[in-house]
Amino acid sequence: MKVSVDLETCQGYANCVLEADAIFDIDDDTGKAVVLRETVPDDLAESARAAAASCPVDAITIEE
Amino acid sequence: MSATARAVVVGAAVAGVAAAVALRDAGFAGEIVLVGEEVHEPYDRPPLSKQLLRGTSEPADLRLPGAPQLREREVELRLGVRAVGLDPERRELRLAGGDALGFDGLILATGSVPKRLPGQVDLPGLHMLRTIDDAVALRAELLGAARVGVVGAGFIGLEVASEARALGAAVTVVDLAPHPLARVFGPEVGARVRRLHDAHGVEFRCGEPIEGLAVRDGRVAGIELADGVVDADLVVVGIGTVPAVGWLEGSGLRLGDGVVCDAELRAAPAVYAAGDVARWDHPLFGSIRVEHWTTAGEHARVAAHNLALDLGGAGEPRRADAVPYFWSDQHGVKLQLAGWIAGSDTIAEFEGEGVRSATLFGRDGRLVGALALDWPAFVARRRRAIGASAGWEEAVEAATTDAAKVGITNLQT
Repeated sequence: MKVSVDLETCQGYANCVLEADAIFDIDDDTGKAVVLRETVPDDLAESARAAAASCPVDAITIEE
Repeated sequence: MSATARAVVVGAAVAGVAAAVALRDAGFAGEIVLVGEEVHEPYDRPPLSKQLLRGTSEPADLRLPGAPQLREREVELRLGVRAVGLDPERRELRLAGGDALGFDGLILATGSVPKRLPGQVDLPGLHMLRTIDDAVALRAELLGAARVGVVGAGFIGLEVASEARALGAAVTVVDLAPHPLARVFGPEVGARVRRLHDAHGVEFRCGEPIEGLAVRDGRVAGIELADGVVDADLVVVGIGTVPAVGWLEGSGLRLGDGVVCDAELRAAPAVYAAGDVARWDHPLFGSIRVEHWTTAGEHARVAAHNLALDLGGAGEPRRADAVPYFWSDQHGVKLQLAGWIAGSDTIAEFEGEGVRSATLFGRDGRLVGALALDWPAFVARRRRAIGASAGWEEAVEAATTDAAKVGITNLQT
């Protein structure tokens, strides 16, 4: 599984970090998401999907 | 698991839609019926007081998580149908118009409704904001309004004030409390939020009781205070909400500012509540009711998982133990809050450039909440520590170190 964030769309709501802080963080200066692991290990796949579903502006793309 | 069992979800907003989808994903193979009072396809509410008023989103853009999956998950959607009563013993829901709908399992997700002012009647120019119809009507009038009056300096009132200013109107916010957001925060945070709005030209009349609404030619014309009238072309009332549980009176379910549930969101055998209507035993914070979008989605997954078990699934029940999280957009600044800060006895404040700032909240020597303006990373990183009941001193120290890296100062050190 691979994850990416559209930084034009991202508004820094940070729901992704709350769901999956091993995969996402928020940049202090830009206030936007940072992908810590573009390739998601299997044991984090469910939390990555939850992060994508929880994004209020639909900025996260998942390729299974 | 029986394929003939029927699960019913009442309420087709963020909690109800997510619960219907999660029931199927939890392996429930029976019939799933989602009953919604509004005639519109399920939509997302947070943008109603933000992007929709501003005009940067249209009604069609209000995507609700889970809504696109309803069809493939074979959820039967019954829109424009109001639930009016419940008999949990007979496992039957009564619908407006006299129909009954039997169920084997039920999830209550009817949300909340805005409070009205004492004696408030419907008047042209007088607005409340909860539904998409409310938002479209308010947007249409905001475009032609020179002066906007807002009753209530809570989140909805402040978001409306912010969008009305962006559209060019003069805005006055009136509240009985001495500072904005007083139902949630103390004077320190209130003052910071006030400064943000002051900088964008919002006028406040705080600490003044409202005597009534001024009416001229059958239309609202302002807000009456003890010493005069705040003239306005339209008035928005945003004074909080109450859980939509009136229809459950007499059902035998325990009601008390919401549907009273256990830590697993169970209100009665095979009956659960999710979202704004649920008053549940949070493992960290005790009996609470949370009106946040994020909590609604978390509740939906827990309630659906536990109901699927009741209806024959395998696994262990889950508790609703996520740390509440909330955001608001005001004048282009994000305000984010994690935790549950009612009863907090200590705060630590952090300030950076401009409005960038943060507050930690402690109770009984533990970290219970984190708030930030214009600093999303701060809140995101604190939520885990709140969930782990981190000790106050160590939490402040970690936050101070984190803040110093980006030039933000702990005001206490």
